[in-house]
Amino acid sequence: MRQFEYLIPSSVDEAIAMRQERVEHAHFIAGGTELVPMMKLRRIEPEYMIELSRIPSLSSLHPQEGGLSIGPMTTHAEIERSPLLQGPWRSLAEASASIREPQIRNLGTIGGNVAYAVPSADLVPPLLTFGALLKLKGPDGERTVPITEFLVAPYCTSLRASEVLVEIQLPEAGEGFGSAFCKLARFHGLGLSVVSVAAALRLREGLVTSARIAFGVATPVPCRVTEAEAFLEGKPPEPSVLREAGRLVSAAAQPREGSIRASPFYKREVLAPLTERALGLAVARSEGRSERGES
Amino acid sequence: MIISFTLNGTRRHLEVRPEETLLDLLREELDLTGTKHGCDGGECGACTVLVNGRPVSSCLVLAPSIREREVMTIEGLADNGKLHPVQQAFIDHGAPQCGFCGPGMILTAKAFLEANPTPARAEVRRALAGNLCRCTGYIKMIDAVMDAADRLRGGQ
Repeated sequence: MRQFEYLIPSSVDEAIAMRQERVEHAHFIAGGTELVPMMKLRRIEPEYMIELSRIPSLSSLHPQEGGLSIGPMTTHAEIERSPLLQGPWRSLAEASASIREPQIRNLGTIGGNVAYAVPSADLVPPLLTFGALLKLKGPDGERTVPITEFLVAPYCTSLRASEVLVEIQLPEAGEGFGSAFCKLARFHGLGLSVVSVAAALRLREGLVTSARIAFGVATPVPCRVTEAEAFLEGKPPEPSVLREAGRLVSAAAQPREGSIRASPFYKREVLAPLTERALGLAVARSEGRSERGES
Repeated sequence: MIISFTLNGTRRHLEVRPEETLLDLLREELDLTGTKHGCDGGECGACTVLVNGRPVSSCLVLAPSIREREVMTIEGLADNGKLHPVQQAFIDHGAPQCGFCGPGMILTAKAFLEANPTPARAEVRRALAGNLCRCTGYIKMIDAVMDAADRLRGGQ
């Protein structure tokens, strides 16, 4: 690793000022699970590293206006274990629990997962289904953007120079809301996603009143599948309906050629049953049932 | 930069280089070679140590970030020469095999059993998923961890 100076800000404002002084020579670091290997390979050679992981205001996880406020430096292990994420937003805990091994989940953060913008970022599909808002702070003040506007392209976000992701906001879930995250990976669901699906449904009197489905590693940037969402709304969540939604999700995928993990054909084949499974779990949870065999 | 942290129960004040990882610091500066240098990319688990009681890949941790933390390596696990129940169970079950993955495996198991004293076998497998063994004898390790869970519950 090339030599660099390690800077320890005590607040977000100090971190922003440190970055602004050294713009292109400095890098923010969160858990380091992506950056440290890149630095060892000398693909990233910053002169300054600005530590974000120990700024207290970035690690808070608490209810807020009926929804949830998640500090971006919350680790995957903390999200996986938090009782606040066992209810309506359970898919986020499932996605965190699916990320590789404990040694990585104890270091990696939700903010790093979102802001580094790898196509396989597992926390992104659940956040898309919740309509998550991201609060960004920079030298010119704060702004809040929907996660859909934040993700621009693989490894590319709308974060401006010297801006820091300071909060992830989940809006109120409301009654009858259930969510689930399913992914295909090698090694019993651990490891990088071959493909993933997050579903969030609201049911009333046996009908789907709102549906959100998002997939990961099926398009260049994780996104919602509006065709399948529109199809589900107003229908009873019967097996044939969920199967058709799975078909629509599969048809909407545009996996890239040449991925080392799976061919586009294979990903499309897998997406249909994976979507059915995620929807089935979300239905059961929105009705307050727990389903056998869930994991 | 100078940092303070606790290493195997002893308070340390050390000059560290930012580009040094916790793994480098332990092995190269402090001669604690029980922590193994494997893939150097957070994939294999051989470099696992406990930071504030939780397993992490020390090859991914920059040295300055452990300031004011508690670090435990395999050298700190035995209590005055008495092996920890996980260590003893590994020996009794022939689980160490070549020994290279052992320190990381044992520390991961120790942290896991503290959080989950009555694990199912499948939970043990999942907990050890980040510790690769190239002797490929995982059965003995899982047996050892299940046995260690019994011993820890029995207060041995």
